Amino acid sequence: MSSGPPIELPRRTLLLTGGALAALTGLTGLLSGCSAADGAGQDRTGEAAAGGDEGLRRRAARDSSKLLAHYDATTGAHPDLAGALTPLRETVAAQLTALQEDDAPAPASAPPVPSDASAALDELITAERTLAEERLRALEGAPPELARLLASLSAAGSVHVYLLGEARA
Amino acid sequence: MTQRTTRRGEEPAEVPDTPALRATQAALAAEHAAVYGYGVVGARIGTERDAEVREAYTGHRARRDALRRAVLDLGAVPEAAAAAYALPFEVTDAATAQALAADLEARVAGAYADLVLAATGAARRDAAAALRDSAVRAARWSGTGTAFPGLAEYAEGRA
Repeated sequence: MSSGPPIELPRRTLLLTGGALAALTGLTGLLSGCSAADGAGQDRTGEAAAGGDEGLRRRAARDSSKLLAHYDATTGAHPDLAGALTPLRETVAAQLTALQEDDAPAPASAPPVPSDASAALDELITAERTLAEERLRALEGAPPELARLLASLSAAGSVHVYLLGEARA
Repeated sequence: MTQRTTRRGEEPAEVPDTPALRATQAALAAEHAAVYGYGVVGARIGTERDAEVREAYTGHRARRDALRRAVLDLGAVPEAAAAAYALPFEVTDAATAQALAADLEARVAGAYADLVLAATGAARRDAAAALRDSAVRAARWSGTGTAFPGLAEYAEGRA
């Protein structure tokens, strides 16, 4: 495969329609409604339990937004890593764009970045791995199109774990 | 391929043509092509990355066999391998062999992404794991990743 053009992504709507989804969305709405007061952690649980497309998708967008902030903070603290991290950061940005509906999630706050570059890379690797595993687990309750997208994002995350490991070596 | 009966019956099966069966057969066809393709890769890539080729070849054979069983479990006759496959480009040296390996993995990843969509439960999980393995192998061969492994509609933008 020759190297393709630079990433240029159409915004694609993967939402399914149908009565079952409408029912699920309604349920998600209810659960989100109760859990909103309980904090973000509860909110995530409620959405995952409901298995609603909207909830899963919003959660995926939030996770990507958080990951993007992690990349930016790492590059900010370690400019020498920019060469290795920028292509991966662009990938995460493209994924976030694909996940977003009309409302962009609020910019996520980044975790503190270790002053040691190698430790900082380790934390990015852990973040990518954790998210890739979470997305695999989320497949079970996801509607078909979203499952396909999440599986791809999870695979891309595993690729990042590999590429970050190479950068670290 | 003379065996036309299914594991469960004497009669050639009247198999409902479901999306899950179609996607499983398509993934099987992609694995057949990958097994063939890695034979070509192994012949051209040189000794340095021989172990990686063997690992990939073995992995694709195992997935192929698992998909055969999955098709049988769905009550249908598994897609047979072709005697030979047209390569997407000429493979003459180690560099083109690596490019072919990356290409094979990208194609397999696409088939598994579609299987994730069509399948449920354990079959969906297996397809997602296979998609991940192909995406990582593609990155090993090409040295780079893509934002949406297996999703052709995103034009496989390189990252």
